[in-house]
Amino acid sequence: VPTEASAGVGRWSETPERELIEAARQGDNSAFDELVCRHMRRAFVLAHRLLGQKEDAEDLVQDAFVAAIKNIDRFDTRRHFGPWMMRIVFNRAMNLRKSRARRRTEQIPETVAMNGASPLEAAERSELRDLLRRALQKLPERRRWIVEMFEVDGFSGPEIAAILEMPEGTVRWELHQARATLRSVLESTTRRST
Amino acid sequence: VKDESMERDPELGPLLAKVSGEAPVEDVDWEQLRRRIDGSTAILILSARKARRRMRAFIGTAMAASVALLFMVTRSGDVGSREGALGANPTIEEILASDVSDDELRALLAGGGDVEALLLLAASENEL
Repeated sequence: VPTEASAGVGRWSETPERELIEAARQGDNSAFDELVCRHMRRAFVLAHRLLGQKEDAEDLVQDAFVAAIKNIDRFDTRRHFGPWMMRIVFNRAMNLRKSRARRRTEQIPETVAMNGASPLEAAERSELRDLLRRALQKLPERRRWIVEMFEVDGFSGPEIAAILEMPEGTVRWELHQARATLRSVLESTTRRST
Repeated sequence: VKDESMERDPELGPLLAKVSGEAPVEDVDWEQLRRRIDGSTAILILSARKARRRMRAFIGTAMAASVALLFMVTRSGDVGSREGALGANPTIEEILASDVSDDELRALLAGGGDVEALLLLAASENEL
């Protein structure tokens, strides 16, 4: 999972975000660039999760940072910049999805990793993935996002709660429900294979 | 549900990654994306900087004007009260004879309107 570790190494690299935001407000390009470096990867991961395509996700990240600088004066520096930024990404992704009125296209790997597996094992894994895929698609959209963002993209519970603007308890509940559904698929497949 | 583990599921996570796909972070040209973002935001940051400078200049001018106005109002009040004691149009002699401080004297002379007499007085002081 991309983290802030890849952020810039310039004069701002050790600077707290609050100071970066204040400097950006005063018109310092390099301070905002540092914020971009710290957050663009996670913004991309989220955008890709919601849009499903790399180019769309890149455009959305750019668009979201433009929106962020336009609204930087409204940002409450007592809060963290990351969740605010991710919320912008989320809102713009939702707007894009609505305006294009298209279904999310998921990039699903066509090939099944079969390294070291027998044809029977590979077939079982393939079947398992197929079942999981179907189970995922049956989940309510937000529940699916929550489990994917948590298990695959590495977002924490509080981060997801901030992005989706829902209580952490609700996120926990949705995660619980999604896991229960998906684990039942795993268990049924395991029982059949034994 | 309160006890729901908020740790990644070691079995479910990798399977889901294969099924739903991970973001292709390795395929992104991060430097190029960063430059694109910087290019889009630079003009906005620059215009914000200019707006702030204009605002600062305006505030400075407004404050200076306020101080000047306050000073003028205060001074005219002083002159008015002194004029009340000495009459509407005191002569230089009346002002000099009155028991006033140096500041009050300056204020009275400045508001007195008898410019020629003042100039004569200043010239005579210089000759001394």
